Amino acid sequence: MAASQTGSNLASALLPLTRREALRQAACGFGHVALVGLLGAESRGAESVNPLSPRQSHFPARAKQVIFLFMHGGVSHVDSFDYKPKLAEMNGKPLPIPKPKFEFAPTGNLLASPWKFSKYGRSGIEVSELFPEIGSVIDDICVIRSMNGGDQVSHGPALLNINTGSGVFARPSLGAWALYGLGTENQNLPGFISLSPSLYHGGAQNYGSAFLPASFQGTRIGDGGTPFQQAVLSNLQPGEDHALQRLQLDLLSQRNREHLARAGSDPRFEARIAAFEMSFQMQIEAPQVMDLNQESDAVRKLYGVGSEPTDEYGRQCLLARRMIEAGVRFVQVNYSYPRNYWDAHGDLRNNHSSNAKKVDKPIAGLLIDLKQRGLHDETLVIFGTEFGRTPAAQGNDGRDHHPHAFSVWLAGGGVKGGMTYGETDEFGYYVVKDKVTMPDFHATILHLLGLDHTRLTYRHAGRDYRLTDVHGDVITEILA
Amino acid sequence: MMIVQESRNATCRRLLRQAAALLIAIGSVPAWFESGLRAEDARASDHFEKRVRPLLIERCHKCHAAEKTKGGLRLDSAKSFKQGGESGAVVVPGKPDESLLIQAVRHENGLKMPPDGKLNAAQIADLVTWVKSGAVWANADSVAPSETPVPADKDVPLQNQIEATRARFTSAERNFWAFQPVKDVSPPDVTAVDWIATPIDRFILIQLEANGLHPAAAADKRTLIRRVAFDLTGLPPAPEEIGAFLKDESAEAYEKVVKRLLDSPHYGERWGRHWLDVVRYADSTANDANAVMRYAWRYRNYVIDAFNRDLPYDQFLIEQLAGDLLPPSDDISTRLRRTIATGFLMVGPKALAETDKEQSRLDIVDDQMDVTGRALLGLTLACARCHDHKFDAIRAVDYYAMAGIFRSTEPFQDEARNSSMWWEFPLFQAPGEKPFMVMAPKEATPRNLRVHLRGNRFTLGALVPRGFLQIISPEPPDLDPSHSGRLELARWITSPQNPLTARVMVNRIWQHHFGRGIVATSDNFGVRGERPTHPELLDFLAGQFVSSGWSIKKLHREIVLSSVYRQQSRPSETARQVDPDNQSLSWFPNRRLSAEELRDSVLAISGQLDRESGTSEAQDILWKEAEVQDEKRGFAPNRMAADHPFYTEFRKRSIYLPVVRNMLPDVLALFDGADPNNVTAIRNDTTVPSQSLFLLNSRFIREQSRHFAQTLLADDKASDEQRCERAHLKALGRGPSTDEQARSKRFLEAHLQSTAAQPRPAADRRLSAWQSYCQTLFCANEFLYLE
Repeated sequence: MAASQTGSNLASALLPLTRREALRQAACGFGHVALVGLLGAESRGAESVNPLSPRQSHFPARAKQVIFLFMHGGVSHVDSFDYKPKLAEMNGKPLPIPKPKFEFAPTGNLLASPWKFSKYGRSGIEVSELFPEIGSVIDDICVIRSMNGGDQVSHGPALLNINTGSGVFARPSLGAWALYGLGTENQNLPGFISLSPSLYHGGAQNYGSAFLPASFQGTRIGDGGTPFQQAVLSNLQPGEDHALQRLQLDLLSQRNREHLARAGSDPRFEARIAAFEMSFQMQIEAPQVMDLNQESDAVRKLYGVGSEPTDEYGRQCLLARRMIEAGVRFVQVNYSYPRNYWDAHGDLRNNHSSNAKKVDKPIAGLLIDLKQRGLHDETLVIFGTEFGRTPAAQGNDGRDHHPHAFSVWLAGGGVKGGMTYGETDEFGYYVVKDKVTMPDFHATILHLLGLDHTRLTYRHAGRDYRLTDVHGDVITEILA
Repeated sequence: MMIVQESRNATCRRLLRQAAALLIAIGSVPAWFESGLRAEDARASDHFEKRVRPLLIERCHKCHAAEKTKGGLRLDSAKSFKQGGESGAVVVPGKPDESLLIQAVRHENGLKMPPDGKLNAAQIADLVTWVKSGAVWANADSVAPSETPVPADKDVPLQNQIEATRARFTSAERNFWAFQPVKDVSPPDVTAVDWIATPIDRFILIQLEANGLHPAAAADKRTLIRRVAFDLTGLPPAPEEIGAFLKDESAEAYEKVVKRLLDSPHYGERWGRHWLDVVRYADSTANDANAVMRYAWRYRNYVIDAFNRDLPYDQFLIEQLAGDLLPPSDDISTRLRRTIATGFLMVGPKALAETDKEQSRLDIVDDQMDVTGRALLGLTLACARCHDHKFDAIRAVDYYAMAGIFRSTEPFQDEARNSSMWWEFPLFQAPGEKPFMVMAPKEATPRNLRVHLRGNRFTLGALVPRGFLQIISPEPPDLDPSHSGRLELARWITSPQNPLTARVMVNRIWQHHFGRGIVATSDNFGVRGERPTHPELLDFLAGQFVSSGWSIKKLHREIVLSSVYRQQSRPSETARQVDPDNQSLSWFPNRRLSAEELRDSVLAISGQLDRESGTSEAQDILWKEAEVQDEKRGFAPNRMAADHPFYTEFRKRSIYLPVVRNMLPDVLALFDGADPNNVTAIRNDTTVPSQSLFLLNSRFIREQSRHFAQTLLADDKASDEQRCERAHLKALGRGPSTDEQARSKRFLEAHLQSTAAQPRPAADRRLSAWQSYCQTLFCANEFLYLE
């Protein structure tokens, strides 16, 4: 039986399965297998296709899959990837230009970065001493220094903005759109997985499918409040032991096949018969993918697994790589509230130092590992946060929310490494060159996946919705 | 009404007193001055931005800003403010008593401002605090809203601008089907008269005949009672009910079942849920704060009760839109009900963390417009927020005409201070009891809105008088200027002449009986929506609906007693070829149980369902577990996630589960329950492995399977064959076949054999085997799909 094959052969479980293989394994002898998404009569009609089966992209993709490293709370751009010597020069002096109309709370005078910056790699891009390990792989990274998050000065709307394109209305998340556009390679695993997402600030909406069918919603493993070592995929633990559950499923499938013969062919009935077999497979395959002990010591070490303070985020990054390898389309690796949070209103030094120490090595390890395995060129890695932090001080040692200009970076599939894009003014307050709006950012990510953001639409309530609404330009300058 | 009015006013006064006291207290805290210059500036600027500037915009700019400069005074920029008006400087910094501005708002020295009504005590206190601390005009360089360009011609007199907001329509727009009056239709003549049970059948049959199709045979009685029981109550028929129906050979047997189901209190729990889907019901506000709306459940129960009482649909809508504005009733429960009903306007998502409070108000108005449009009128009104509707005859001026009505209704407790605490107030208090609290909006100062160009509140266009949709009513309505206009809007929507309201509702009812509406896009009757498959039937039903006194139950009866509803759910070969989508309804379309039906029937079958109505249990648990809480507000416990034990342990029907926005329990999230952030007119129907994992491994299903098994084993005189029979009857509404009996025997033996080596009592192993067996019934397609 397919189950025991997969169970006995670890390597085969981790190889990306082609769709045909996946369906063959899952089908267990059934002829026509189809998962059904009745996508609402308004959209596609009652197509009897598997909504999650791999689909052709609009044009050749630069990246096949995505790992989105999400830093919750707002990483300070002027203390990480956007060096502003002027802040040191004018430390304690007032900002000589007007402050923005929308601020979360009033701020004081300019505050120098407590961290030194150095040039890294052949590209000589300046990175602060918070991120020496990421600095060491900077030649594979494209830093965008001109992100603009609009007026979203609070965490909730800002999180929703970067994850769904709207801070106000319920819209499908980036991962859901990717899954809707491309399907996924391995039907025995969810196609979009969010590791340790926060249950706050929009919660499940940040990886939800909104009006897209539920099959595209992200599957949560753990949450921001649970140590990742304790995180589980819900309902994955079999209620009965293997043999008893097989016995049960055989009875069920007999019952269902008889019903199918009686009730006449209906793709939904067949789909559900297949779905039970798939979940049986998933119970076997997912724990194997999630078992990090199957990695060598050297690899675990590369991610900082097994040592503090990198163990937790290291596990998440390593798991993300294993998932990508097993054919998951989109993995979001959250460093999130309430256990992990970059929101340094006060205590900036401690906050950012200790947070950076937890993620720096795992992230660099991920990029190195992807390269070693030849996955780098087909995997888009995104480092993002909901907003930056004010170059002006909040109290003596803090910075406030700053959506007006901040830094994110991309690496891997289809992205030019060792470059920066866009500029902020000498204080890091406003974008002065090549502003990147959230729709631009999203359009570029979809473009790298081979999707035209203007054509990836879904009909809902009489309108064709897009991730980018009516905006967005692909940043062609950063494409490799 | 007197009691209600008094207590509301009393609450108002009490709240204002508290607010004023609080402000004065803050103003006198010494730490205020000791915490250093920077902090003081910051606080003053904060106070100005949050309290003073919005107040000036709200109440003074009408006459003292760029557009109008009465008395030479402008209160819209630091520079013009300092200059003062014809009477000189209006403020002496640090000295409120000597400042003209303060004297005017206090109505001292013969000054009276603003002329359209005195500011309340809290607002005056805000201004005094501001002047006392130096009258700092924060962000002096930033652009105040009223200084942004007003593209509407400033030189054109207001009356002409208003004239310009009258829309012109093309003949195609005027002739669009959905805007035509409902036609008076008679059921057509058909040949196969034997098949006709209700007039509906004539409309269906004539189209079948035209397409060369024939109706399917009538469903057998078992199928029929299961279908109609789920459709009307969302619960499976009990074996005894099935037995009684099979035995009853009278001609009225089926009618009797239908009557019993329509009279059941479970009817409202099923059909109320359909309504809650379209009005995006939830118990928390969403987004950042996700605060608990403690009294939302009263609205939920109001809806259930309205369906159960068959409240005429026009009344139902009027109460929800404007129950608070109806003439006072002598009946206390009627008065309570009408205010609770306006929870309709309150239960939507609220972005409490939005720092731009006017923006947040406009987003709530937009949400109300969206719901009113899609749920009541079948129109996507919200599309006209940023520009004229791209496809439908709805202009941006129509949007802002109607939006003005909603903007004149206040969901928040202190309009001027833009507090983000919504209205909750005691409506009634019986002696010796706790006050009866409700969540409902209040009337605010009526105002007309300007068109917001591209939806941006800083680029304003022409001023639009409040009104309705011009494509339906070209003449401007005559609104009482002292009210928001909600009651007039409600009466306009429920007028028998409105071409949309009755059509939209009968279509929605039809959709929930046949899986698809006569207009498939049941929330979009516009150009981009589908056309009706049976336009004459739609008008016939709409006409009947209105003339029956808007009775929803009568409509159900017409539908479920029809022959088209009583067909088998097997297509003929011809039908499969000619009409694969079954638009002509030549067979009855099967459907998957909804998420709620799935959970409720599992509980019903396992014997665990508590059939009592729910009250505030769900909200109580949210409140109890709220993470940050003060006397008024608690933030929804985000830990009320999928795996919170409450969801597994609660035994009442699913409609009474807590609905935390962005955090639906597994069973609802996985089986396409409605997302409460959106109007959900049509639920998705997806099939994915995570649903199967839930059915196989979740604590809920496993526990209920165990309870089910226990009820079967409880009768120790019964044989295993009888138990198998009982299990089938309860779960599937039919007895097992000989094969199924044999298989169940083999399964139980195999299961017991596999666990033989386990050190457990035999009775326990037996229970496990039966539990596993019962679970296969909950996983069966025959259980999940209704024929």
